[in-house]
Amino acid sequence: MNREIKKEIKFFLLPDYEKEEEYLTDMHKSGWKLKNIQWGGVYTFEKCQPENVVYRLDFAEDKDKDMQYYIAMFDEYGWKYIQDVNGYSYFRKRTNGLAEEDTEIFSDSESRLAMIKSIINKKLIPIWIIFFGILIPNFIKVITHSFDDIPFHTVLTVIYILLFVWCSYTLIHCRMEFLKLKKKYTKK
Amino acid sequence: MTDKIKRIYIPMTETGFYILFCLQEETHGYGITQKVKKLTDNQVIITAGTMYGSLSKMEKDGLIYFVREEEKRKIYYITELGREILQLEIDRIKRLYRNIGGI
Repeated sequence: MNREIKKEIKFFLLPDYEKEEEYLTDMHKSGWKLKNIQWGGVYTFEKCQPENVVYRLDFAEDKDKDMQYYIAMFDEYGWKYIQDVNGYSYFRKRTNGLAEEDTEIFSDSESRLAMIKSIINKKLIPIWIIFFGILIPNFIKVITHSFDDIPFHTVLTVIYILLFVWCSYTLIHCRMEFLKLKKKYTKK
Repeated sequence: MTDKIKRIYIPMTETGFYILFCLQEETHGYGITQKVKKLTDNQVIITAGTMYGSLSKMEKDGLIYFVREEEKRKIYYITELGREILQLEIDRIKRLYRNIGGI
C-alpha cells in the first residue's frame, strides 16, 4: 500500500534554521514525517502516526571528506540522518522518555556560536561578495542610463530595481537575524 | 607552541577540557561522552554536534590526531601540542583551586 504523500513549499533563509526545525517537528507531531526536500524548498512528507520527535539541523563545514563517520557518530547518539540541503544536515530523533539535553545536538553555547560563524563564513559572505561585485555595479549602470539603448529597457530597469531591492532586503534581514542568534547564545 | 593556539584554547571550555583530557587514551567521540558522564556524575553531557565540531577543530589545530578507524568510528589520540595545552590548563586550574583555599 502506498503511503499518503503531501508536499509543501516553504522558504527558510540561512539564519532561519531554528524555525525550520520547529516546522518539521510540528509536522511530524501532527502525523507528517519528512521524506525529503527537493529544490531547496519543496518538502515532501508521508503520513505517519503522530510521534514525539525532534528535528535538528547541523552545519559542519569539514564533514564532506568524512561524511560516513559524521553520520555514524550522530547515529550513535540516536540521531537519524535524513539528508543534506545547502550545507545543512537534517537529523531527527524520537524524544519519548529522553532528558532535555538528549534532544539537542549542541551542549554548549560555544559550539552553537561556532556553527553560526561557519554559516556566515561559508554561505553569507560569498553572497555578499556577489552582491557587491555584480549587483551593485550593475545597479549603478542602470540608474545612470547606460543600458538605455537596449530594447524594453524600461521594463528591464523596473525588474532590475525590484530584484535589487529584494536582494538588499534579504541580505540585511539575514544579517539582523544572525546578530539576534549570536546575542541569544552569547553569555551576558 | 604558537601563541595563537594558546590564545584560542586557554582558558578552555569545560567541553574542550574533558575531550582533551579523555584523549590521553585512544578513544572515539561517543566513548568520550560516556566517559565524561561517568567522571562528572552526569553533570557534563557532550552532545553529537558539539562533539563532532570540537574533534574536527582540535584535529585541524593539531591538538589531537586520527589514529585509525574502528567500526565506522574515528579513534583519536592526543598530540604533543595537545599535551602541552592540557598541562597549561591543568596548571591554571590548580592555581585557581589553591587561591580559593583548596589544598
